[in-house]
Amino acid sequence: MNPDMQVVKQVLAGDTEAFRYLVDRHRNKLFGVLMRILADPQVAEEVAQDTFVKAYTRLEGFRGEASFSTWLIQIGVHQARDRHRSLRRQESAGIVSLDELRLRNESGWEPADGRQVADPLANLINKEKWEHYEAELAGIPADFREVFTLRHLENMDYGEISRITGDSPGTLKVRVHRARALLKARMEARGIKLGNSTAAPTARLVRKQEGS
Amino acid sequence: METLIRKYLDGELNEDESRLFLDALKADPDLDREVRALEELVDLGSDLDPVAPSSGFTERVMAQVQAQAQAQDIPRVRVHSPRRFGLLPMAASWVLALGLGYFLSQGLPLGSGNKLQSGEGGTMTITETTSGETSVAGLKMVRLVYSSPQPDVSRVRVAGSFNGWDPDNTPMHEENGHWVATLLLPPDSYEYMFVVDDDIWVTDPLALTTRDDGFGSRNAVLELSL
Repeated sequence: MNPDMQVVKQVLAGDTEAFRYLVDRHRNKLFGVLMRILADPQVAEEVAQDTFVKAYTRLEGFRGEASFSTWLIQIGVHQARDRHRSLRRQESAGIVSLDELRLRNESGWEPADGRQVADPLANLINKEKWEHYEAELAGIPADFREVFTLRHLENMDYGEISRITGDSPGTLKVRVHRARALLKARMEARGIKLGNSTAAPTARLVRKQEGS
Repeated sequence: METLIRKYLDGELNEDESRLFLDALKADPDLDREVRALEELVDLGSDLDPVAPSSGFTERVMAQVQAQAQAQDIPRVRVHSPRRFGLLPMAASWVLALGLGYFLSQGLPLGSGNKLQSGEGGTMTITETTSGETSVAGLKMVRLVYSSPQPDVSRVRVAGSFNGWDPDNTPMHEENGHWVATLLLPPDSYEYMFVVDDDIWVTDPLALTTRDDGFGSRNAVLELSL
């Protein structure tokens, strides 16, 4: 039995404090997904908290068919959708501005740890790209941002994403592809040049052949 | 070619497709640049800085979890439908909206938290209170019914613009194999979805109108006029 499942059984048996282990173990991954989907650190943290509490109240529903992480992110993604819907309703009523929330995110958020790169110049160039990347990702539609995050930032396969979102793998593949094209167009509109590498674009083919 | 690019980026090209794809890249420098750009885009995503919630996150969560563990289960508003609003004999979903003049005529206001319950003879009476703020005047009674094509559904809830999109606020109950919720709402335009089991969001299959929800699905639209 994996450690998560053992802890789940312990919590269900009445040891509420044992839930702390699951929070500590999965909080960064969950927050990372929510941060990219919601594009606002404050909202992402609130939704992450709500997600853990909801996971606790529904713990009996976790049967270990998927990993605890996938199950948790599934709850989190739907919580994020609810929050986004609510924000969108509030925006249409003039209560909040999603654009203002995004601006707050762009200016106010700092990553958790620094990146260690040997070449300072390369670090500087990439840092700029990453900053634009975060900002432009926050600007694409929520459904695109959601699947792009799960596929390319969390490196989940389409089966796992399907379990989380409830969409078919075929639908997800098309949506991810559109998300890539949209994000690329937005990056290029910002003046960011992509694809300057002189290496042959065969890395994925090689990786696939090595894996097969 | 778009399909080949997509499959390439997802690592799904077979041997024949790989050969075809590489030949196309050699023959078309623009396509080559396009693919390199998309590939860098994907790789940049994998290399983003890890993020973490602010300090004290775990403590805040655990405080809520402990409170949840100790909290008593306080029932929310439960609305039971009168018998005369029986289900239509069809495996489908429908919505019925009725005015609530009855309550006014009986002098039983819904404010200050009244709980509705079905009475004898197919009419509705109010038997106990909850912390409601709703005025009865002009409210509509709406009955939502969902008939799941899957037999092993354990619960169904409704999330919509009328309940903050929180499905836990509106659980449905089972009646003769159909899942039913009855709501009291002021006239307005609402959007909603059914939430089957834990997290499967389903558009009402017989909604007259649906609207893009921005997440690749469609919300059912419920129009309640005066």
